[in-house]
Amino acid sequence: MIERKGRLEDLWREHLAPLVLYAMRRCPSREDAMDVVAEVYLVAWRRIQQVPDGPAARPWLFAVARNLIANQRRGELRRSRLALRLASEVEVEVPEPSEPSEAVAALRMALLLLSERNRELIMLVAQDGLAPREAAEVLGISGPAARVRLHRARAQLRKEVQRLASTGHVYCVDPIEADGPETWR
Amino acid sequence: MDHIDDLLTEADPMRKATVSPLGPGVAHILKEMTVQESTVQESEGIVYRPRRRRARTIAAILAAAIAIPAAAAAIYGGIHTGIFAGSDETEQVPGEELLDLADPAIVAVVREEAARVPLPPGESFDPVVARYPRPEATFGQRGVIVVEVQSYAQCRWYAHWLAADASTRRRYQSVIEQFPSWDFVQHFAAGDSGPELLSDTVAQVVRGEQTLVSEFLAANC
Repeated sequence: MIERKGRLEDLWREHLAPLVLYAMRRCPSREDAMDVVAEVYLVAWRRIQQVPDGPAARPWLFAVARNLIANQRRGELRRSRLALRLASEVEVEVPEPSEPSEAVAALRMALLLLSERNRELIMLVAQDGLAPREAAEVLGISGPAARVRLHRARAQLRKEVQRLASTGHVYCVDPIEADGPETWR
Repeated sequence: MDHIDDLLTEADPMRKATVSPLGPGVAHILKEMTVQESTVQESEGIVYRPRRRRARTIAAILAAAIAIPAAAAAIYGGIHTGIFAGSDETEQVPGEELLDLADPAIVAVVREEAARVPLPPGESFDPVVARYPRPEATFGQRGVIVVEVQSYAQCRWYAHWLAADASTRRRYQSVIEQFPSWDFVQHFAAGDSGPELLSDTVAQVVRGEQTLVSEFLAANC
């Protein structure tokens, strides 16, 4: 039991911040993100023997979070008391976003045009800081497949950004207000 | 890193976000997490049956309804955790304390609950008492013990009734007829088929039919 708790504490100490940010990038509200984080750690506690050691734990935790967020979007995740406690104990400071540049606005719009899996793959690598091999674990695909898909997705993204930038319409599209994925809200 | 990577970084709404270092309340959250999950596991383990069987068992009973009298605190000593279920904990009784089921003093609680429940001749609660203290640190409300003790008794009475001759069956039937008034009935989860199954089973016993008793024994005992 002591060893189990020690492992949970290690997971908490080493992965809480990236996990919170992962959830906040993908959830419509901070409360929803904390709900996901609390549930992820409950799952980790319940299946502590299956959580990989060291850095490999992060893709495992992210994969659990990804599934929970999918459930959350289906309305199946309840607001737990633990999540409320977590929200009150963990402080997350997010600076006010500045006005996005034309290029950033184009990129955000272009991301919305990718498939969900490709968008997730790109975000895992470029924003959540995972290696392609780790991102593959989160998505449940092989490492080589992830690298190929990543290459193609980046090429598509680049192409879409150029196309959108050339139309001059990107300023009209604010992903935060658009009825697109919740990723950017 | 090419231009797309720079843009992706710049477009990340969390790129300048910071998550605070762990505060003093985090230790309590971790403890609450382990308690919450242990309680669920403990409760699920009451009848030691796989999930698929639980539709016809009382294993869905997770709550505890009997509060510990204040005077009892001094007697039980180490079993108190000081953790009380919140009002939104659907699997526990709100406001009731979680007990440390791994503390040796918990055996006194088990014996106390066992003393309130009749058993057929020659039977004892030793198998239930032997499960305590739990080998792994687990927490649960008193109802966990109530359900475990009374479920065990229910199993033994059904088994004895099934194996008895007609005249003995009539004597045992008088006890079985009281099952619906036992405490564990309070712990059936909302929407659970347990109360209905219990009353149907008791009704069959009164009629001398043994189908449901046999099924119950096979599934839960």
